[in-house]
This record gives sequence, C-alpha cells and structure tokens, in this order.
Amino acid sequence: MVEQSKQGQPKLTVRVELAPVESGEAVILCPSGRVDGSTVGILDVAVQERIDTGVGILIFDFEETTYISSAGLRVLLMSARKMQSEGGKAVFCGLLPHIAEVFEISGFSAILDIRANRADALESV
Amino acid sequence: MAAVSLTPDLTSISQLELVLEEFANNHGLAMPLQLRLNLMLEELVTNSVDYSLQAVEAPKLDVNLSVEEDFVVAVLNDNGTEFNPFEEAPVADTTSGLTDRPIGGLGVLLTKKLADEYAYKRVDENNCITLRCKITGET
Repeated sequence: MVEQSKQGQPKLTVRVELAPVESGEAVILCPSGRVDGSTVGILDVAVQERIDTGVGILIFDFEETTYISSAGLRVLLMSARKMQSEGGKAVFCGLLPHIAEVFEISGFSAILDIRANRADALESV
Repeated sequence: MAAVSLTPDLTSISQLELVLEEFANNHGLAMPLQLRLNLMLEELVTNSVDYSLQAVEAPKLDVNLSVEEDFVVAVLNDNGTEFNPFEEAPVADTTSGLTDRPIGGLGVLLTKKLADEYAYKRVDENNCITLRCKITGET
C-alpha cells in the first residue's frame, strides 16, 4: 500500500538511521510526511521490522512529520508497549508544535518518553 | 464553499487532504488550522466508514466546508446507522499507564478538544455532524 500525493511523491516515507549511544546502538526511525489512516501501514511495517530484529533502543524522530492522526498514535502506543515488554526502550523526539498538541491531548506525554530533539533523545538513552 | 462527496472507504482520507488543501488555499487559512480541520475530519470520516456505514447498501459520505464570519464550518453527512460519536463512542482513557492503556476513543477525544464547537444531529435518516473552528491570526 503506497499512497501518493498529487505531486506523485509518496505521502509518507520512513528513513532508518543508526546512532551510537552509551549502551550500544540506537535505531532512529524518521517518518517524513503524513501519518494518516491511509499511510500508517508504512510506519507500522517499519517499526515491526525493527522490533522483530531485537532492537534495544528505538528513537522516533518526528522532525519531518507534518501530520499524525489517531491511526498513527495507535501504532506509536503499541510500539512503546512492545519495546517495554521486550526490555527495550522507545524515545520520541522532534515533535512540531501541532503534533505535540495532539500528543498532549491524547495523554501520551505522561506515558511516553518525549524529548525536544534528537540530541536530547540520544543523550537520554 | 466546498461540497464534496467522498468515496466511503480508506481512499476518502486522501480525498479529504486534497479538498482541505484547496479550501485552505482559497480562503487563505493558515497551515495549523488546515491540519486541525484535516485531523478532525479524518477521525470522523474514519468512524463513519468503520461503523455507521458498515451495514449500508449504498453508503454516502458528504463533506461541506464554508467560512461564516470568522469561523470555518465543516459539515459531515453520512446515511449510515444512527450514531452520535460525541455521546456513543468509547471514552478515551488518558490516564492509565503504558501497559494497561486501551487505544480506543482517541479520534473523538481529539475532535472534541480541537473543535471550538461540535454538534451532532440525526436529520432525515442521516448522521449530520457540524464542526466550527475559529479563524485566528496565526500564520
């Protein structure tokens, strides 16, 4: 399932980066574009692939995420829960103000580890 | 004014995005307001598609957007089973811990919090939802 924008660009791509941290290596997922009900499957697959390979630290960098609906929030909640149950850690960072508002209303700020930016996120793990 | 019939399935989400983009451009609406309207309408459209329109033989899903003074007014109509999401949808749990938190009800919660006004009416066998959002000076 690949939803295209009217310019023919994919509405959502998820870039995967690696960064060394004190406890080893962190996997950073960078969703670029819109996470809505029609694209959320792309994020879900990217996350599952990483969790299945036994990643210990998963960082979601939302700097390039312009939109997220409850369909996306659901995937994030499930991912954080799965990481926790497998003894790993999920950290979320780079939220644009309107995305941060959505996290806040949803009550995610209390249960997810949210950092201002990638540098802060990397330092926290 | 924009009046659009959406395809009552997952593709309605992409249609909605384009309709809002054009409407926001035509009316000079700021990006945060456009995204806010988009989010609320996606949540409501998804509810209609997943619940009220499920058992309908010829499902219809229409969205009307207009500007009235300093408000954007969005009206969503579906010909589905009677369902008032603001009263009947499960209430989102925003306090339980990570392990126990159920994941339902977030869409309606977001809609209620992000709209300046919201209303539901059953009109001629249709579910009719009206959202009003104030146009502010934000850029």
